[in-house]
Amino acid sequence: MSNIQDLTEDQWQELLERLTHYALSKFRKCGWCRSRGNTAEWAAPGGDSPADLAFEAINRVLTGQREYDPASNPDFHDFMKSVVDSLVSHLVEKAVGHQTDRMPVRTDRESGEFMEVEMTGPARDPCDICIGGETVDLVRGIVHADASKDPLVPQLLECLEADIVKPAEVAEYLDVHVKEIYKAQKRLRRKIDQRFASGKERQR
Amino acid sequence: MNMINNYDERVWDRLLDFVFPDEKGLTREAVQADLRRSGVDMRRPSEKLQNLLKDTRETRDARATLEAARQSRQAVLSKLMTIKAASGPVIREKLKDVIANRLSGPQQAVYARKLEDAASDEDLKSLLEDLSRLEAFMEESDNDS
Repeated sequence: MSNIQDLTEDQWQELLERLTHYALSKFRKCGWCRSRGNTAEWAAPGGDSPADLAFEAINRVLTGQREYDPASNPDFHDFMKSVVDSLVSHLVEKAVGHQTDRMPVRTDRESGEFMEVEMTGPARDPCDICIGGETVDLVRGIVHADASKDPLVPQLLECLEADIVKPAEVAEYLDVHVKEIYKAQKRLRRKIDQRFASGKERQR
Repeated sequence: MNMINNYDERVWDRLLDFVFPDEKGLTREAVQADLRRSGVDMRRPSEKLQNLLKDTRETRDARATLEAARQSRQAVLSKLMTIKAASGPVIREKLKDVIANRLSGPQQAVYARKLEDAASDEDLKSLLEDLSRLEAFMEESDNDS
């Protein structure tokens, strides 16, 4: 995508939908969900929905608040996701206030200059910090309840721990048909969705 | 079963990514279905997007119109400068051309009258100066806006 002005209205609409889907995955990890009846209402602290964030990302780019440079970001779609990321990060920071650790720094012994410390593991992304909270409890609870009935689920976790994350690879590793993996995915998806919709608190 | 409690956040994070795949691998219909299933209402954001696109298009069109006008005026200013060097009858013809093509409404009538009244080369040159100033003034106004 070299010129965003070439995008049609329908392409912008699709982008809005895809960015909303992407933002929703972040909301899920952050546990930004309220239950209304038996429906999940996704709302960040302050009330923004995933679609609000997706719209805001587009708004910032179209109004020039965020400049798109095709030279440094050849993939416009990925660039837009990074705008959503920064909006989510901002909300996470606001939500956790000063509880979020700042980027660690150390100084060079000789020059006294600050040096960057490369962060690894789940703490790299503010959203990943949030996954440690109530969402982990929620997913862990579902998996716990399921594990005795569905032996595939604990095995699946072993694969994920070993960084085997593609359904086809998981199927090969566990020596089952890939359809079984898709079914397990679907079952877990439905259960997690239901748990969010019925209220996270009730499962504790 | 205790193993489940031993997994760290990274594994749970991966599980969520695994269970809810990234939209990049999904068709648009699948994305829309996921959003509906998750209870995300797209109507208001879609309306806001339509309005935003409309505003953006209008702003872009207005800028393009201004830019075209600016370039056209610069061309006229250059033309007026070349007329300066010409002789009386030629100046009159060229001014007639500029007044006919560049001005409209009462402004056009005023300058047409001035051209008719201009008897000497001095009068024509004075009219030429006035037109140059008018073009420069319009150029400045465009830049300001």
